[in-house]
Amino acid sequence: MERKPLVLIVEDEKEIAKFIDLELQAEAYDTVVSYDGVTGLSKFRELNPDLVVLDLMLPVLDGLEVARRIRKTSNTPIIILTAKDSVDDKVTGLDSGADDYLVKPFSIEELLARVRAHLRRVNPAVTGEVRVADLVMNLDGREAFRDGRRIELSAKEFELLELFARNPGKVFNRFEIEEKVWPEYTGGSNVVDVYVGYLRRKLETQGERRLIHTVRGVGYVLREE
Amino acid sequence: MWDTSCAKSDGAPVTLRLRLTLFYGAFFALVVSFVAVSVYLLTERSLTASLEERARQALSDLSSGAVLEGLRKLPGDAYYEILIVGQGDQVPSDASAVRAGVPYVEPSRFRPNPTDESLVAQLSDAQLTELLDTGSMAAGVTLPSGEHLRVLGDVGRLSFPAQEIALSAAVFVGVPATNVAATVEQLAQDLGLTVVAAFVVFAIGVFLLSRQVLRPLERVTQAAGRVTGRDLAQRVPVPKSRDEIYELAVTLNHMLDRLEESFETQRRFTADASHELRTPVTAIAGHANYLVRRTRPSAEQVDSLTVIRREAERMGKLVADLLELARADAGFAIDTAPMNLVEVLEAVHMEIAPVAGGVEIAVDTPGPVVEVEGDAARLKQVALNLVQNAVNAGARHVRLSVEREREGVRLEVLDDGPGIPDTAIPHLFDRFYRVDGARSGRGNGSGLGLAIVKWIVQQHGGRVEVTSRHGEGTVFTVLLPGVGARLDPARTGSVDDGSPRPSRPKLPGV
Repeated sequence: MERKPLVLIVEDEKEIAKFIDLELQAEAYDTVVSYDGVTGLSKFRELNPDLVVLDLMLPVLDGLEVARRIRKTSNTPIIILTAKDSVDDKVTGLDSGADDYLVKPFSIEELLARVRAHLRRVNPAVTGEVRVADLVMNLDGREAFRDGRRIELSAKEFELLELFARNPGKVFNRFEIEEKVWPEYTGGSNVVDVYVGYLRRKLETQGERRLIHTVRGVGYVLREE
Repeated sequence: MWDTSCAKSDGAPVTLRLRLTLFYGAFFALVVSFVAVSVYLLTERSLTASLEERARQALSDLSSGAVLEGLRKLPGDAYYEILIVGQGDQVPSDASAVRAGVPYVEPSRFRPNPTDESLVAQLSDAQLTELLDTGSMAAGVTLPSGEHLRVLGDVGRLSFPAQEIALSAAVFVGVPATNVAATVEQLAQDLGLTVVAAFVVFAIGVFLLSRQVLRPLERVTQAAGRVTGRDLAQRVPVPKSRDEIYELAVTLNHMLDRLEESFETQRRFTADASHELRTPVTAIAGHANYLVRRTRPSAEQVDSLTVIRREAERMGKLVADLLELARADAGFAIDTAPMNLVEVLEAVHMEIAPVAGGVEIAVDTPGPVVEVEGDAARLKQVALNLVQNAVNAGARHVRLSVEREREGVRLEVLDDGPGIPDTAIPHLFDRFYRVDGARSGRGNGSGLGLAIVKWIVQQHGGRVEVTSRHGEGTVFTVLLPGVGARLDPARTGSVDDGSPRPSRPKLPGV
């Protein structure tokens, strides 16, 4: 029988740690709980878990530092939990090497879904995933990552990117795209151009290479150049 | 939030300026008029005196008998008249005797009068009687030719040593006063004009200078006007000179320091309290959730746990809303990018339709794309809050409609609920405000939804308005700038007072 994935929970609020622990066990994960940063870090080194759920405000060693130190030696997914939710905190959290970010009060269903998604990402044998170049799309979790960076996409943006990513190298004309992604509207709008613009912006925020290219007079194509 | 509209009053300094100008001007006019009148009177008196002095000298020469001597001293334009009224020291007592006196004509006639007019003919009996009684007189006389004279009279003796006779005579000398009168009149005119001109120049000067004086005050007012609840960091400029305005600015700044401090304390308290509440709320909801989902509670326990979970979630929402507003108070700006409002509305529809309890929700758009410059998550919150409000109020149909307009994008949320009373409309966007009746009740809103809507819309450079008719429904209108455009900043953030519009709100499904 396959080994159950091991999740390390580092959370100083015992009541929160407790129900996360219970929920993850109910989802058939093995869990380890620690209540401060130093213990959390030594547990990580000792047990080498598959995923870390990390609170940001921890005694002794704070969550950002724990994430940074884990990231030095390992690619294990880290999901940060925090009571702060300003943009700066989010950016700092993700910069420190965390893969994802949930703000308290969070819904447990969302945490479980993110845990599933990140475990799948580490283990590509699990289906429901499309990879093109450095783009990874998790179709069940409706999430996209470029070079490990999570990209926030709206529903339509995700659908459009999925269409391209499932057919790399195929040139789509605007009519085809509209029919597939916006079946509820009859043609004649510039919706495709607008959304390709949105996708390019979101996929290239770090100055990455262009993935979706314009084919003059025809439409668009996703390919690596 | 603070109302900054009344803080800006350009009128006050100008009024003070006008008052200063009028006050100083009036005082100045009073002083200058006094000086002018004094100059006038002094000049008139001194001119008249010098005129009389010359005449009196000649008169005393004439009446002392040195006729030729006297005539020589007489100015060329002066008149004289000598009437012999008696022998020796005889002096008549009757004025008519003077008139009947024999004119003494100087034999050589080397000194004629300028004209042949008689002085005595112009004098009244009373004046002549005064002459006879007191031995002298002085009067102003106008000749038939129109010439003004100052006439002095004397009774004296003419002695002619050669003939050994002495005669008593009434001697008159008239010096032209026309020059003096004209000079004095000219002086009065000149002085009057000078006074008026000085007043005007002074008033203009005061008006201009007072602006100089009041400018620091104006700067203080302007700076104070820029201080708002959002931006308490602004300070009033403190002038270098340690004057009254310095005192005012320092006092104002002290006040602002204290205000900013207490505002910041309050904001931080809200933020800290919200943060601190998040952890227990998360734990409560999480454990209740766990019990419902993962254990086998009885039906009664499920009911009870559901209440715990729902209330914890509501509290979580309230905490999130409070934090959002604490951020708004801290002057937090939101990031915007071009985005499709239609997709946001569709997402709101998908999210809320299953839990709307049979309320029909429709989305009405002109096509698949209506772009705005915005923050998708926050605009979704705007639409969600407005739709949730309508559902909570008891609407049966809610329609979300979006339209492109010349100046941007118009998003309307129309419902056929009971409507909002007119008295409630001005407070609708206040924090924790709840409309009495249908909208309060058990509603699961935090009372912060519309305050957040207003803040988000303002941060987008848009505005939100509400129109409602009792028993017919309510329309919330959100106007957002289109891509690459901002609404007229002067109107940004205004909340419509909800006064009835001529057109009826279009209600869905009615």
